[in-house]
Amino acid sequence: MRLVALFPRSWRRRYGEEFERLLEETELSPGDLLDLVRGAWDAHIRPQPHLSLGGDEMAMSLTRGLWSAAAALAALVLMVVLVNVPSLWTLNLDPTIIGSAVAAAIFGAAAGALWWWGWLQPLWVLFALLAVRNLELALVGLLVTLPDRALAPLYRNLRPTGYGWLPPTLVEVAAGIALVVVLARFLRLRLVTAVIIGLALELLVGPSDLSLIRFLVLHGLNEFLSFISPVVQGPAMGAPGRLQSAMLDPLSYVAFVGPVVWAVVLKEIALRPAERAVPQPLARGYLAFIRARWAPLAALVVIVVLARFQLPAYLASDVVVNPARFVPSGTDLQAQFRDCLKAYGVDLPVGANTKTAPIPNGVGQRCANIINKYPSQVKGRPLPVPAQVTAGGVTYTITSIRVAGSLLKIDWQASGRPIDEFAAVAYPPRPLSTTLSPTDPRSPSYRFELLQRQYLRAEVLDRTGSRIQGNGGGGDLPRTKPYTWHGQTNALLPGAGEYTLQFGCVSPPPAPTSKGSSDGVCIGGPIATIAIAVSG
Amino acid sequence: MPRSPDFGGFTEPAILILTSLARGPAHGYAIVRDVEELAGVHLGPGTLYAAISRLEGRGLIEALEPQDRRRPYRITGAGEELLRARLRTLERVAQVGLDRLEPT
Repeated sequence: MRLVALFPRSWRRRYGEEFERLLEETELSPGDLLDLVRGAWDAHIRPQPHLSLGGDEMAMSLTRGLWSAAAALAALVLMVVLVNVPSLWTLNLDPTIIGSAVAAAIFGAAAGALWWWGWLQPLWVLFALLAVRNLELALVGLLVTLPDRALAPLYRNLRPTGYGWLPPTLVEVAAGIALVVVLARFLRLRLVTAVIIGLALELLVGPSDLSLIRFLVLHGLNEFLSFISPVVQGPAMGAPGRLQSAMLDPLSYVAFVGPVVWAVVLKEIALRPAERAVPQPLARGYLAFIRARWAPLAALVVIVVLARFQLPAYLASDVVVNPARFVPSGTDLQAQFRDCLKAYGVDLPVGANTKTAPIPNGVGQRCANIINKYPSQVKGRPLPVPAQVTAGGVTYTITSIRVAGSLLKIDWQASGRPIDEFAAVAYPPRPLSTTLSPTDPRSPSYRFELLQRQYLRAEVLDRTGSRIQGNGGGGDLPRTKPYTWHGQTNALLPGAGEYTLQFGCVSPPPAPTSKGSSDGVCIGGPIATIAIAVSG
Repeated sequence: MPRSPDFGGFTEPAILILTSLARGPAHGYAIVRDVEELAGVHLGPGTLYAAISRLEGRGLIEALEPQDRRRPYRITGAGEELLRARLRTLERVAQVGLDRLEPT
């Protein structure tokens, strides 16, 4: 490693050659190495004025930056269009993978043409980087999502109902770093620098669950963007309408921001400023920012801190999610949805629904979000907890009952032999060597379907035995012994009175299909019931 | 009390480098050797060039044409003036310190 690389570029340009000559003449002791690192640090944080880049050069950088921004925006739109081309929907493959592969081909061709004719030098590098990044994304996507995928043994069975996230995530991160390392020679990066830059980019804008952009997506960015979307979904939307909607919807662009930022950052590292005179005033602000060398780093730290801690809280706040402070009430989800639309200024005609009437995406998403999340967000009034019951080898224990308006929230647990037997399949001591089809009775998904229909179905019934409309719910099986299913059941009660919580079925249901259970119908009588008294 | 002239940090190495260059132009390696001989102080490469960069930026030394990838530096008039003033101050301090250490 050339030690002079530790110093800033402007410093190297002025002192690099003589400094390297000095290092050749000197037998460096460990103390000298520490001293060298200290000197490099000083050169970074206290740049001397006579070493700063000239205004013309900075202005050139700014011009290149503007070109890059325009090209990046065009690339972003192109990628959104590619994954929404109607012909791609018919292929039995993730459209994003196909879109990435097609984008790689287009960007590669554009880069090749610009390079061949010698046009727009800043752009062909950007397009070339976009091409290789999209190609890498397509290949990694194929690797982790194809049926009988090569990586399946690594992450199967991490969860009983699907595949886990960690190994594919590590593959995505490793692939991103490896790509930058491979490109290092062309980007004039050293190995260590390439690894650091590759890792930093993967952690900031990579496609894995570890990246900052994915973190934001998972913590409200998608919802926020859907709320501000100008798209109106209406009945019978055809292919052109769908493409147009995708282009107008800010949500469509989130997945492609990462590759574009990745390419732009690397392009800025790859290219050296060209010598050309441009007006000075353009460069002044940019120059001041660059001269304060700690400023970009500080800006990055601020972005990360805000994005990790402040932004998710803001995105989940009432200001974003429920600015009209709409509170779902009543015993009918359709009525709740209609009331919510009205609170946000959309009057649904009588008899119309979301499939027959045009509803702005943002308002529809907002109302669906408010109604879906209300049960988990509202605290409610606690009710007495009834005693546990045992049936079919399963012990059902209610841990909490709460009422908020018409909403009844029940938290319950189930444990016993059937749960243990399923856990043994779902959490084997070592991964299975082959992938099992969901229709294979030995597969975890098949066993889960049976378990859910036979033992984990939970419904609230009124005095007459009629089912009360639910509102969400679900459950989880933590990977800790003794295995206990943790379930939640919500219902919209018509009023105070006596109700019954009913679990499971007595007869095994039909085998699940390859696409999973569609009806989830319980064929048989209840195996366990718990009486619940709801006071007024 | 008037503020003493500023080297922008790395003051001691800067004085040593200026003292070395007071003899005549020298490149980095020669400066290191000379400072070791005259003061018994080893200037590490990072310290040497941090000080050189500051001295050049303040016009106290100037670079000459490089020879075989070595670039000699020469002390400027402003550098001589500043070195003289600083050495006189140090001389006074040294004299006062020695007087105070003498038994009364």
